[in-house]
Amino acid sequence: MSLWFDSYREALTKEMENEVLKVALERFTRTYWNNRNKALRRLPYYNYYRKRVREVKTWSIAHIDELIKMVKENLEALGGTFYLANTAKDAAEYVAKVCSEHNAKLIVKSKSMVTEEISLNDVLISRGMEVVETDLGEWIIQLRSEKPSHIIYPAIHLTREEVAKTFSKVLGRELPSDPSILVRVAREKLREKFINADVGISGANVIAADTSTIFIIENEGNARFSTNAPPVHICVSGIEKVVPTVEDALLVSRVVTPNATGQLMPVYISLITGPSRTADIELKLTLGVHGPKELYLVLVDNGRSKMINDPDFREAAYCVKCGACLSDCPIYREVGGIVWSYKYIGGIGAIWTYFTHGLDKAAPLAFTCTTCGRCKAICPLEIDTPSMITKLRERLLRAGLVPQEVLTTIKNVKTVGNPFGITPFLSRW
Amino acid sequence: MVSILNKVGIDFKVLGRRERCCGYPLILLGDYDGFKALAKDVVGIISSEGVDKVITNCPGCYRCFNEFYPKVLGVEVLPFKVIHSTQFIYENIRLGKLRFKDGVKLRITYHDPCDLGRHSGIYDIPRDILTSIPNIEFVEMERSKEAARCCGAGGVLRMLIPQLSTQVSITRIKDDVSPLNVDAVITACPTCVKNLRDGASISEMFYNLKHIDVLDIVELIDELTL
Repeated sequence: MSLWFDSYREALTKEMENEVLKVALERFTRTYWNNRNKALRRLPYYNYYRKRVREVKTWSIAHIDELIKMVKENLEALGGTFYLANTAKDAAEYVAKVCSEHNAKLIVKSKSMVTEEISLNDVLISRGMEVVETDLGEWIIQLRSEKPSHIIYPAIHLTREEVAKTFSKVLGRELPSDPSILVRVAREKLREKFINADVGISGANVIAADTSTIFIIENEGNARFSTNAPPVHICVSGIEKVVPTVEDALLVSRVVTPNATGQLMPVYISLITGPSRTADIELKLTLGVHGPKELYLVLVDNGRSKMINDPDFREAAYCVKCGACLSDCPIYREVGGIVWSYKYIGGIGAIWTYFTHGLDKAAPLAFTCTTCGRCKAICPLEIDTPSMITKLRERLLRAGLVPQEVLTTIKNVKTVGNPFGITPFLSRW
Repeated sequence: MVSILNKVGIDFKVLGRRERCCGYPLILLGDYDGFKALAKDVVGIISSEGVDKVITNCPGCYRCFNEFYPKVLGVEVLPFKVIHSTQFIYENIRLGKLRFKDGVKLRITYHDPCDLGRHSGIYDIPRDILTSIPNIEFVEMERSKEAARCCGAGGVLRMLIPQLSTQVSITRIKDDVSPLNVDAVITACPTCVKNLRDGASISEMFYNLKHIDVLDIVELIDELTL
């Protein structure tokens, strides 16, 4: 019996009764839809951009080993340190080791799904380091000990009223549910953390191989701050993020942005190419002026090579993580991303979970999908998630990781001739 | 559908007890081997009837026959053509074989079934049928065609997590259909009809929305033609 699915279904049903979530998702879905449509109307070249990005990603994934080698060589030539981590544990251990070597007590982080994937915060905190998330949404959920419910909007399951409650508790005084006041609290509180941090950890939205340039897309300015103020910057990202050139990476950024937030351009795109440097004194090259003296780039495999080499699922590696598929998914609209996730969320998240965390973790996610294809239609790269979901279900069936209802339905189709298991009375024709 | 076939005056038969599921649920649930075997059986059963054309009312069956059967059976085309009921109706309205009565005034909208719209690219045919009906005022939902929200029943979700499936249909009715102030939402899929009817009746009961009929386009056309 598939008791795991019963308890998952129970959690999901309970989540659907969550009144805060209901309000939050209703507000979010409407605003996202309007903003994205408005942005695309002002981007006449959008279709050209997204088709070109599909070509770029297809080529990049087919040449991933060469591109990774290029990033490594170019970064090392600039005085940076490159590390290729095969597993989640390997990656987290390496980052922890670098932090320990620098006697890091305080670490600031900007938003990164890959560090969620490898449970980096848990590892660092267990070594006695203080880790502070600086993206507003990530900070909110860190204060609440929750996990991100959306890859772009980690705290989207909360209303402004809930955020006000959380901040009031942290500050010990009553705060109104006015976003501008709540943002000011974050600004004041986090400023000292940026200045005093020993290490800044970030992700990367895309990486250009020809110059080893890290692209970080953001609006708040926290990623700039946390990758610039501390003396050490560690960037943790996935191997699939590498594209050949800076121009390609910019094109990816231009496609990610309207789909993520409905903007034509984000407020900031940081392009980081090696550690901070100067040659102003007698042309003598010196690293680390106002920015970090040390730059580490950790690229994580953790199942990605397996995904890329599996013809049924290779397309999932093209994902640029814009989150459009989640933002307009009819299932996400009802349940959000807390229960319908392991680390990665939703339909494409089910595919990613299979490779990064295992078939068993992906099972409940795969069976929470109507395969309606809205994700494929909105995806700038037209990634065929619904087909991959049915292929994933095939593997789950073979592994026996399916709800009881699946077996019953299959049996009904084969024996009675319909999925419902009823014998129809057809003689009136 | 049978009544429409009679109106058009076409020679047809039904499989009755020999009818089997097309096997689409098996694909959705990952039983590819079972699907392949079933596809062979179904093609054998239908071929033995010596028919040129199969009409199906279900977008899932339509997609299954046209997209998945040739793939798993390794053939270019099946020994018979499979069309969707909307294609049949559209053709016969065009040919003048289906003629409209003076119907009642209705304000309606159309819900795109995922397997007919996004997965098979049939968006215009049902709309052309609906806009050709006299006295009917057709309005489009904001989320339509490729942006249509699912009714919630796809992917066997209606059987796996019925609460969630119903909740999706409530949102479709409440957020997308209801603001249009229509008398009825028309669709072209038996599963969408079932699920949206749940959504409409629950919306009526718990959200105090006005009553909205959910009809399959086949029912509507049969009602409104001579």
